[in-house]
Amino acid sequence: MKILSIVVPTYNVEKYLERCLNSLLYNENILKDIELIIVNDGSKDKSLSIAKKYEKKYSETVIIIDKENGGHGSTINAGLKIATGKYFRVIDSDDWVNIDDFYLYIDELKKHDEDIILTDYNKELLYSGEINEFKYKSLEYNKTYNLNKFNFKILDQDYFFMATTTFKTEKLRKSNLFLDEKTFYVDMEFILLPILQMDTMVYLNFNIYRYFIGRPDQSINIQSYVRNRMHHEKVVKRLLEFYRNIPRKNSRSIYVKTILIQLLNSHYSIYCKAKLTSQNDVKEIKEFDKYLKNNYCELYENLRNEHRYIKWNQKTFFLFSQIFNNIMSRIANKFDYIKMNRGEKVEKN
Amino acid sequence: MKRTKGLVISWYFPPINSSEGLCTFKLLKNSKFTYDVYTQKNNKDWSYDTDETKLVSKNIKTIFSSSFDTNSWVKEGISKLNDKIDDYDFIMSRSMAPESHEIALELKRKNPNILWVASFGDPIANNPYEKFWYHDSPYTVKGKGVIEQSLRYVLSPKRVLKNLIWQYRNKTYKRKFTRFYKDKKLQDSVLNECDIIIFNNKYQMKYMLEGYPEKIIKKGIILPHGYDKSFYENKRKSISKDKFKISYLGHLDKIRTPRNFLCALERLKAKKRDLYNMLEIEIYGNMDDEDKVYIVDSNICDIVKFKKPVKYFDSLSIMQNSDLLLLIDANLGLYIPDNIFYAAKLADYIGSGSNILGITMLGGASSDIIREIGGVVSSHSTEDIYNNLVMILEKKIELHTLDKYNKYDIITISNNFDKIILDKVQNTCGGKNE
Repeated sequence: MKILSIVVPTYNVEKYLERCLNSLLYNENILKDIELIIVNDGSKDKSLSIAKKYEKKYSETVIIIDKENGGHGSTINAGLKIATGKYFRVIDSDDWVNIDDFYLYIDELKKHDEDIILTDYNKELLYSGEINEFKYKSLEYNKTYNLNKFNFKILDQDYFFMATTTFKTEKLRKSNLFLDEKTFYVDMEFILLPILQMDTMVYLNFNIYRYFIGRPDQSINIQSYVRNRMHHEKVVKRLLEFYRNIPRKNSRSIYVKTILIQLLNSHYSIYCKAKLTSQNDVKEIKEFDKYLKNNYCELYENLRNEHRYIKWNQKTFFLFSQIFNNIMSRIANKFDYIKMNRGEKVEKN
Repeated sequence: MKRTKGLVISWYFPPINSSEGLCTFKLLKNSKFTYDVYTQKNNKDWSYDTDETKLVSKNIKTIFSSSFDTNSWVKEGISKLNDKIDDYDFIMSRSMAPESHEIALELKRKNPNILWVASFGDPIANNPYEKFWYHDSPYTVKGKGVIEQSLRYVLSPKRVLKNLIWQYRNKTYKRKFTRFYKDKKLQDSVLNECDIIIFNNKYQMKYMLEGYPEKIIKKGIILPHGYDKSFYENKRKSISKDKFKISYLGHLDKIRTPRNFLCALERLKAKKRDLYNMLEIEIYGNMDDEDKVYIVDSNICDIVKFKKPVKYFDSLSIMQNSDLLLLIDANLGLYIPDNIFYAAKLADYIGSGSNILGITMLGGASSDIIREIGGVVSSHSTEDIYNNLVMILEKKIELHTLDKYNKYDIITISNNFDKIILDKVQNTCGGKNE
């Protein structure tokens, strides 16, 4: 039995895919232990042919699923369906792994049976060259935690990320995990929805994942958030629904609530800090605000108390951010460095 | 039948060895036309040595200016060349320096029927590479980021005052804007009034023509830099099997910096000493002092040798006799999504037949070409460079042989150039040479 199934969601990543696959397949001693499921999500570039080259060379390790475009969530759903490894994790195709430690991590996995395995990661801000190393400050290495008795409050903001988390495949299946398809930001679903099925967790001293920030078309930049705000709302609403059904006695409910408040803050930020310039935007956020107030009163109050700008906006019917954003947009237009540098184009003659 | 004759205006041209001049020389040498090249040999900035003997061709005659600076070169050029303009079927101006286009612009205005080809190495205006050198005021309200700044900060009289003082005191800021408007005006005039615009890659073309009317966009063609097979020695010298030689040839500075490559070597020394000991790294050219100090500080000077610039033909020989050639581009991701620069040295690298490791932006001209010819592309991330080095040294990445690759052979490129020019000359001048 393979110890780890790795899903590599692949969509138009011809520039990045080789780097990712080379790092995963670097050490031949672990090839028998891992299963690499490359899920081509209807790429229009050379991603599939690159993947096929690897499938041919590493036929015992690499499997390709070639499917129509269905979004990030659909690739994980498809990968999970055929995964045979004891553990399961996702490595995005524009990211890569630390080649010096990856085989050690695979060897270590063989010694464990916990439901969640956590490891560290580096976030690389490519254009500035900055590297941020992420570690779980409150967890001890190699200690097995019982999640039924675990105080999730100690995690603070260091919750589970796709870049840090390896799940036991069997438990993922038990949780009936099915991520929203054709939707962005489903990584939060991946991290939260299986949590009720998970009983044990261990934190290993390996820094494995290299999270690459700075691709212009990445879904985490603010323009993408604005463009895909309805996707964000869909994910938030699904997780709110999930939260509603967790008994308050369950220690995991605190964890889910903490993350939800973060997510709700992000959602209000999309409107209040970047988007709120037209009446339609105001209507959208007012409707969401009403929905939250009517259905999740407790969360609503917590959110207002933790993030004051939301309270000010609610009190002024979102006029506060609307006026602020309009002033800022005017200043931006006047001072916009890029526009100024571009100058007037050649006259048509 | 009279042979087509072109007038080429280029500040850099052999015998002065410089990337710009050599690119133009290779193109003209392999073209079927004859050329007069207006240039100079007094100012050797941005060049490495001169070569009076090898870089000559029967179809090229040089007209040297007596000037030492670009301003007098322009004045002399306009008066000298305008009298002879009827001898030519077309003129071609080549930047850098952009002043060559100023001469051609003036000649075109005086002789509207002459075909004018404007060839660009780099953009004249709004060059992303130069944005690094000209810093903005730290107190300015930053364009697109303005929304992220607080209203209190934006409206603060203290900030406004500090900004004004900074701008008043800072000469580079003033120079930036004075120069920007001058360059922008020139670039607009050149693109508007020339007949053919040559770019060396599609990203440069897109960047420079973005926002211009269709009439101008249609003038754009892509003619990549090429290598000249006849410049290389016939055989490689035997390369040591115990050592793996990596060479970098060319200019490095604070922007086009080898720092992350050096960090990767440092990491290699710490993690995989056996691989590190295999390496022999030679860097020829210029380098920022801080990077030189870094080589010493990080204790990698046992394998990294920094050497003075060498003559062009010697550089080709070094390229041929290296296991791996290193290309380092500036990381301009803050300014442009894709790299718009295709360094002339990359064409010479390709011609040498050696394998190439490109440390460059993952999207753009260099990375496309290196992937196309079977080389390895690394981002500017230290760890990515380290991973690639390890995999190359352990032979876990397949490097292709480049011998059969002829898309970047200058003969192919010159033939295309000839076809384009001939077609245009015949159309615009009614085939006066046929």
